[in-house]
Parts: sequence; structure tokens; C-alpha cells
Amino acid sequence: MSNKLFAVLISAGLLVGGFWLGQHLATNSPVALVGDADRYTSNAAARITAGTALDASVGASGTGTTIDVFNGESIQAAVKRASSGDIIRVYPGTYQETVYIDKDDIWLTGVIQRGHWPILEGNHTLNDAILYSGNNITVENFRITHYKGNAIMGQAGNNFLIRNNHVIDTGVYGIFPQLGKNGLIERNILSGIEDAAIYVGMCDNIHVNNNEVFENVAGIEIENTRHAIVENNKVYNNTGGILAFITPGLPIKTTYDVIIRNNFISDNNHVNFGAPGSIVAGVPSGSGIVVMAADQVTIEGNIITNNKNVGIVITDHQSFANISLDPESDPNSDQVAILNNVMFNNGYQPINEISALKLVNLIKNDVDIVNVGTSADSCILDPGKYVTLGLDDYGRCNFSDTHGTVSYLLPEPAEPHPFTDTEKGKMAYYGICTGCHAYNVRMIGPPVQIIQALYMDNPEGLADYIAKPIKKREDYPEMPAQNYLSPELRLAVAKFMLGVDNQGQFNDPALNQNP
Amino acid sequence: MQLRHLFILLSCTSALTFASPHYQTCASCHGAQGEGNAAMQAPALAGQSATYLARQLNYFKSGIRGGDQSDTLAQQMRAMAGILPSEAAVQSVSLFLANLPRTQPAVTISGDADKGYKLYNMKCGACHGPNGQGNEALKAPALAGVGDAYLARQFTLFKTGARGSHPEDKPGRQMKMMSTHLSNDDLRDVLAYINTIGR
Amino acid sequence: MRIFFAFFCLFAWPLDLAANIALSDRCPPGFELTPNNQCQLHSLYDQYNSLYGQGVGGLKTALPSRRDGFSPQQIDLGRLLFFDPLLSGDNTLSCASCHHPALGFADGRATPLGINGASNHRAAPSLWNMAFLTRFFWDARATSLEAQMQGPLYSPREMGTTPAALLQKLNSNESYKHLFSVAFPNANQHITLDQIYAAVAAFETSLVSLNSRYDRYAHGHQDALSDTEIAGLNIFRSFVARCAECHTPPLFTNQQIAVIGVAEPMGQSFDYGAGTIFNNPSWKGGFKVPSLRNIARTAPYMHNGVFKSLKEAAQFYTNGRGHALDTERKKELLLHWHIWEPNLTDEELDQLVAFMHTLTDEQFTPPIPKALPSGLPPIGVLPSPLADTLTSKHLKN
Repeated sequence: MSNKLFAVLISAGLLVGGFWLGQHLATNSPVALVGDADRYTSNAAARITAGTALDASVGASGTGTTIDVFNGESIQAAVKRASSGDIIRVYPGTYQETVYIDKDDIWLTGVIQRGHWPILEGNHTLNDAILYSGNNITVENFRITHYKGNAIMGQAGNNFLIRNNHVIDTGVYGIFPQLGKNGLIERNILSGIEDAAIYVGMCDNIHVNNNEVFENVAGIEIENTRHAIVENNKVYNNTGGILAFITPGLPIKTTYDVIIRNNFISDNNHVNFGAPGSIVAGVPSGSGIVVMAADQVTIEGNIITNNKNVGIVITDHQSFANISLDPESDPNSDQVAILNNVMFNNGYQPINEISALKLVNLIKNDVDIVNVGTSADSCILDPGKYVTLGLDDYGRCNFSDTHGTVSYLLPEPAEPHPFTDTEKGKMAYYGICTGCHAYNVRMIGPPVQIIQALYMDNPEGLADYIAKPIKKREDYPEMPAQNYLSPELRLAVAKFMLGVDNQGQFNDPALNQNP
Repeated sequence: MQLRHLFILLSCTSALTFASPHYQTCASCHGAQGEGNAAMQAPALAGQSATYLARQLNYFKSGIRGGDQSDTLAQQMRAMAGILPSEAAVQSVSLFLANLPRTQPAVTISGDADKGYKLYNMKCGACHGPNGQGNEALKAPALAGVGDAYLARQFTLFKTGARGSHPEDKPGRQMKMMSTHLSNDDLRDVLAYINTIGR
Repeated sequence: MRIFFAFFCLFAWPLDLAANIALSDRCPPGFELTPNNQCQLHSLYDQYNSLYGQGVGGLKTALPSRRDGFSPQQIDLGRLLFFDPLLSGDNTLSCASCHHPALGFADGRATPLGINGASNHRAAPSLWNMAFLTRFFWDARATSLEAQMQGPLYSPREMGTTPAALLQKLNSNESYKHLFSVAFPNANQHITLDQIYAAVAAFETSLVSLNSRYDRYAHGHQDALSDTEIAGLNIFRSFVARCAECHTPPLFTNQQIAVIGVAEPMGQSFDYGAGTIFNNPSWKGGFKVPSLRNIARTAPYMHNGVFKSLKEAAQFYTNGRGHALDTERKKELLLHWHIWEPNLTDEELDQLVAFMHTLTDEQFTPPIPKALPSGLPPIGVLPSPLADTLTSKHLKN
């Protein structure tokens, strides 16, 4: 009797359980195909393709003259002398300075002779080694050490090329391009950085390849950046290996379209020595790849081993300690794709939160991949290969590789919008001249009408005058020299001023003379 | 300061004492003291910038000024300037006139001098000076003391292109361009203001 | 020199005689008058790009998108309103009482005094380059100038007027009625609140400061800054001091909320700033990052004016994360990750200050009207003792 009852109960339980399981599979089937099959083959426009050198559209042109800097001389003095197109060759020696490049198209190259490098030495007192703001900057072949801030920091420079540098024990970041478009970071070796060794912040169209990063808090970090590929790097013994993030509270709010492929990501078990308050200070030691709030991150072909916490973790802002919430940033990691990777011996010593999740989910094995939080439209190609946790909602990827996408670097350099001389002259005229000169009334300086008459067919004369004005009128204040404008811009603004009418329309000065 | 006064005094004296012999011909129209002659339509020249006078004389001599058929007065002047035999003569006449005390020709035009002051300040003063005294650095002649009739006539000539069209007359071409920025009514007001200068 | 400048500036504007006030038909400096009577701003920064149009980056980066396109008449009407004490409840305070052109469009005080000497707890911010901002107030609670100005106008502690009083006063002033009909030609007979807001916003967006010595350097003149100032710039953008991470060129703000941990003056309750407004615990004590343009002209500093000098303000950032906060507050606030201990030397602080002084440019300062349609003295009461010394000088113009 009791046996019978037990059997009935069991079968009822099975029925209910089976029903629940069937429902679950029907609504959230792990075999649902996710993503477009041609995700990495279709949009070949505006990026380089197979057969093109990666550095085709980045770096300096080298069309100018060469300036040699020898041990004992100042690199900055050479930068100051240099014009766009110039190559600055730095010979082996120790250079204790901060080099800042606020010009376009400068090639800063170290000369390595019989194993002797040019060394930038910060002595633990200098802030940053190299700061650049210009477009088309190349920095290569330097050994950079003991700076308090960054080794190489870019602010808004496009088409940058940073390669073959050794960065050892600099303060916060090793290589940190920020707010740039189209940049290549390759063959650098970085170690001992207390935040990210390679930190791509708020950039677009980036390629990071063949670098070696070890003993840093974060190896490679792609933050608030789109269209980036991180490949063929050796990333080991950092606290966290490769990170794709949205940091909240920044003016550029998204990270998406990132491929992390063919990297060695191993033994990232270094103790976290990040600065208190920094975001990486919250990265648990032993994390191979961390995806936080980033979308369309595809992870393929990596060898991910011996990361004690977890091989890959996908998470959101809510689940990450120490992160402020930004209503303008989407906190979730969506459309993440995990393709074929080699993973073993990860997750053998997970943090408490992951241990707790394992308990709840009755998982005993060491975990390769963890998803914490909501992740919509994400997929995994072959879940059977890994031990996963929290990936129940992941579908099966509808694409198997990223081979069709060689790089997101642009086929042509990202250029500022090209402006004609007349357009530039107009900007300078309204932006600067109208502060003192109105068209037909006296302000601080004489009316533009009068200047037009005086210099009617002599824009060169006006351009010269504004560079070095002399006082001509007793009842007008002396004009300040406008020699900070380039000769080209001075001529452009002179021409514009001589041709402008009250409506801001540009007329050819020749027409004004012969109405 | 005293030295400057002395210099001015000296130069005035020398001009009065040693009046340019070449000026005799000019005086018949422009007056013995360069005060002009309204009946002859000859402007006052006393106190005008010497460089301006010399430039204009040379323009007349070479036909840069006075070549336009519509400007018969200038054509007359062109003929008269030809009498001056040399650059030295041109300089001598010009210096003599420049050193004469400025005169006040009769007022013939009426207008709103207050409005004229504002217009003058915006359109003219930047070159011709806040008090119509001219500006050597800008090759701008004095306007005060010249006479409104002459100024009005010249302004119209600039407007029509009878003056200031010759490619070698750069300051004239500048003035021709400026003349398009003032209407006839505006001109009357500006002249009314210029007439008040020094009175 | 400034007086000299202001004097000549007047020539550019129609005569402001009370009896016969007309609106300018010319755009303010920096603006082009388009054929459809709109003022369009131009700047050398227009030749550059910025990622996603956010207007943050390095030296040659475009500005954020701007607010322009007002008519010259609207801008000039806004100027009259801005300086007119008629806009306050008791006709004593104008916008300029707390945003004076001679004080960097701020008031030179830690916190402003409002109507009847009422005290306020947050500093009056500078109005330079408002055209580029998308968030207003220290706590970022407004997203437009029109929304913002209703705060001080109707606050009983600031200008203390009401919409009804404002409309009544302006609509009973024939001069204003006429000027509004010129500035808003297709509108109906009565002045509306929207027109008032639009005109004042038009004037505010005309306050443009982009021609500092720093800008000359940014556009490529490498001798525009001294060695000390360049050293300051390099500290400013270095990742040690990290100033440029939030005070990002070219506007010197990234327009985000940052929790930096400034304490309140003795006896004042802690200001939770944006945290309260947005009900976001991670923004507790957070404030909008202010632009640093013309910062040397707008002491004292911070949302509550606790720092008297730029050096004191710079010093704050090197004194350690949360050093000014009590333990309880330290636990409660999520300080910005860039707040740390850069350990700047005294010399470095001086260099930073020298650099910040290069961000000064007041060439496009508009003139204060000589007379107003209301017949009231322009500006009205100046609450600051510092401002008092400036009054006579400016009214003379």
C-alpha cells in the first residue's frame, strides 16, 4: 500500500516536473538560434579587409624631415621644432622628461642599437611619459618606466599607432588612448601597471594585437569603446585578463561590437593592487575575461586556462560592486557570443558570490563561464564544451566564427571634416574678429567696411598686418597681434573679411571693386 | 613740447616769408592764402596734408586724376598741374599750402549734424580722424576746412566712379569703395557735422 | 583696458535711452547674421570633430552641440530683461545681481543673497558658454535654460517673483510690449512667459568665451602659453592629477555628475545634490562638473563656495580621497573613481593654477544697458561687497 502510494507520488512528481521542464524548454530553449548568420561577414564597408596591412591607415606619414635626438638631449625640444610629417628619431640613452605632442602627424621612433633602447625614465616623480593630442601620431620602440601616471596617453588623437614599446612599472595605465578613432596597438610588452596595462577608453575602430601583458591589475581593457578587436595577445598573471566594460558616468555611454579572439589568457591570479576607488579594484583576482554592460562582445578562439575565479564572467552594473549607476548607460551585457574557445582548469577558487551561485544551482565542478544578471540575445556556440553557470537564457549562436572581420581599422585615416579656406576664414572671422569689428559700425576696431576699402585687393597685406599690427588711429585702441593664427589661416580670414558682407555672405573682393 | 612749437612757428614763418614761387598760378583760383574760391568751385587747400596735396598734383600731372570726361573741373586742374615744372615744384607748393592756417569756407549744405556725427564716427573717422584732420598713415586727407561743396562734389565723383577708378590711384579706389556705403541724405548729415568742426 | 573696451562696445549697440529703446538688428560678437535673421555661432573649433558629437576630447576637438539661431532682436531683448530688476518680486534684483559680467557672470560670493537678503546654499554659477550645456543647476535638475531660469525667478529666496506678477509687470509696460512685438513678430498682443524665457535664453546663449590663450595654444600656436602654463596643462591632463578626465576640453566639462566629497561649511547640513533629485544612491553628494572656462574670474569655488582660491580648490583634489568627509559620510558616498591621492607638489599646484588662468577670455562681454524699459537702474542690487566696488565703474558706461 505504502509502496504503491510512493510510486504514485513519484510518477505524479515526474509528471509535474516533466511538465515544468517542457514549459521551460519551450519558452527558453537553449537550442534557439541567436544572431544573424552573417554578423561577421556582411558589413565589410568602411574597414580594412584581408590582405591589407593593419597599419595602412594609422600612424604618421613620415613625409617630412628627420630630427635626431641623442642621449643627453631633449625629446620635447625636438617635438617643439618638428612640423607635421617629421620623424623624430630617438637614440639609445636615458631621457627624463614628459614628452607632449600637440601637433598632427609626428613619428616618434626609438632607435634600438645592439639591444640598447631609448629609455624614458620617470624616476617616480614625473607624471606621464608621452602625452599626445594630435592626429596620426606614431610612438614606437621606447622603454618606459617609473612614471607616476601613464606611459603613453592620447587625448582625442585619431589614427594612432603605438607599437613595440616596453612599459614597466609605470603608475596607472600603460598605454591609454582616449577619445580617439582608428588606432592600432601592437607588439607592446607591459608589466607592473596598477590599473589597466592597455586601456582603450571612449574610442572607436581599434585593433589591439600581439601584445604581452602580465603582472598588472587589468591586462587589456576596452572601455566605452566600439568596433574593437583584441587578438593574439598574451595575457597572464594579471588580476583580470581582458575586460570589456561600460564605465558609467562618462560622456560616451556605450561599448559594443568587440571581438576578443585568439588570445592566451592564463593564470590571471595576481593579487589586486588597484587604487582604492578605481573600478578595477573591484575585479576579483583570477578572472580571465570580464564583460560588464558591454554589448555584442564575441569571444572566440582564446586559450583560457588556470584563472582561479572564472574563465569568462559576463555581468551587469547592478551586480558589480563599487559602480555608480548612470541612467544614460544600459547596465546589461547583451548579445554576447561565446564561440569556440579552449578552456580548462578555470574557476578552482571562485569568489564567494560565485560559490553561492554554484550552491544554489547545484553545480560542483569548477566553472569556466559565469553569467550574472540579465543578458538579452546572448549565445554560446557549444555549451557542452564548458562548465557554465547562469547561461540558461543563452541561445545557440547562429554564426560560428568571426573570420570575415579582419579588423575594424578604417581603410582610410579618420580625417577631420575637410574645410575650404573660405570656411576656415569664416570661423576665424566670426570666432575672433567680430569681437572687435562689426560690419558697418564702429566697435573696438574700425568697421569691416573700411578695412575692405583699405585692403581691397591686398589680402596678403591684411594678413601681414594682423600678425603685427601698428597703431594708426589716435582714437582707436591698438590692435593685439593675431600672430597665434597660422599664416594660412591669417590669409584665409583676411580674404574672408575682405569679401564678407553684412549678411555674412562671402563675395569675391574683385567684385566689390567693380560693382 | 617747446621745441615742437618752435618748429611749427619756424616752418610757418618760412612758408609765409618764402611763399612758393610756383603758387602764384594756383592762387588765382585757390586764393592767396589757400582759402579756396566758391565761385570758381576751387576747394580750400590751406592746412591740407602736404603728402596728400603732392600725391594729387602728381596724379593730375600724370592723368591718374582728371582723365574722366565727366569731371571738367578735374580736367582743368590737370592742365594747371602740368604747369608745375618739376617734383621740387610740386613739393614746394604742397608744403607751402600745408603750412598755411586752415580756413573755414562758407557753409552751403544743411543737414542733421548729430546724426552726421554718428555716421562720421562709424564710416569716416577711422581713416579721416576723429576731428576730420586726416591721417597720414592711412593716406587720408583732412576733411575739415576744405568746404562742403567740394566734399559733396568729390563724394559724388567717387560714387559714379569718375574719381577713384584709375588702377594706380589706390587711395582713390579705397574711397570709391567707401562711397557706396553712404546715401545722399547721409552725406548731407555728415557734411553738416564736418562743418561744425572747429567752429 | 576693460573699461576702455566696454566704452567702445557701446558703439555697437543702439542707444539705450529710456525713452527710445530699440533692439539691435545685429548679432553679438561671434555670431553670423543669416539671411533669415538668425544669429549663428562660429568658432575655430568648428573645424574639428568629436566622437559622437559629445564635444569631449583633446585640444583639437569640436565643441558639444550648441544652442543658437535666435534673432538679434531676441538676444538684445534678453539682454534688457537680464539686467532689469523688474524681473524680481520687489524690483531690486536682476539676473545680473548674481551673474554680473564683471564677476565672470557669477557674484563673487560663496553663496548668493536673494530677495530681502535671503541666504541660499549653493553658489551662483558662471553663465559663460551656457549655449553648450545640456544640464543646468549644480544638481543637474534642469535640461534647458528655459526650465532653469524659472528656478531663481520664482524662488522666494532668490528673485521672489511669480509668473502672474512677471506677466502683469511686463504687459503693463508699453516699452516692453513694443519690444516683445519686435522680437516675436508673429506672436499675439500679450507678452507670454515662453517669450520671456526664450529671450533670456537667447541672451544667455550669446555669452561665448572661446578665445583664451589656451585656445590659441589648442589651435596650434605653440608659443601661446608659457613654460609654466604648459607644465600646468600637462599636469591637468596627466593621469596623476586627472583633471581633464572630467573637466574635459574643449569646454572643460564632460557634463556628467561627479561625487567628489566636498564638505559643507560648519553648521550647514550636508548637500546630497543630484542624489536627491534623481533618487540615485550612487549620486549622493554628486554635482554637475562645471566648466573651467573663465574659472579664474569666478572665485570662490565649489557648489557651496568653500574654497576661496583656485589653489585651495586644486589642493582639495590632492589631499586624499574623502579627506573632507566624516566617517559616516565616507561610508555613504560613492566617491568618483578619479578622486584619489595624486600627491601633487606645491609647485605643481601653482602650475595648475597658472594653467587655469589661461582659460580666461571675456572679449565678447556684452555691454550693460544704459537704461531699461522699466526705467529702473540696470542690474539693481548687487549683494556682494566686492561687486559694490564695481557698480559705479560699470554704470558709468
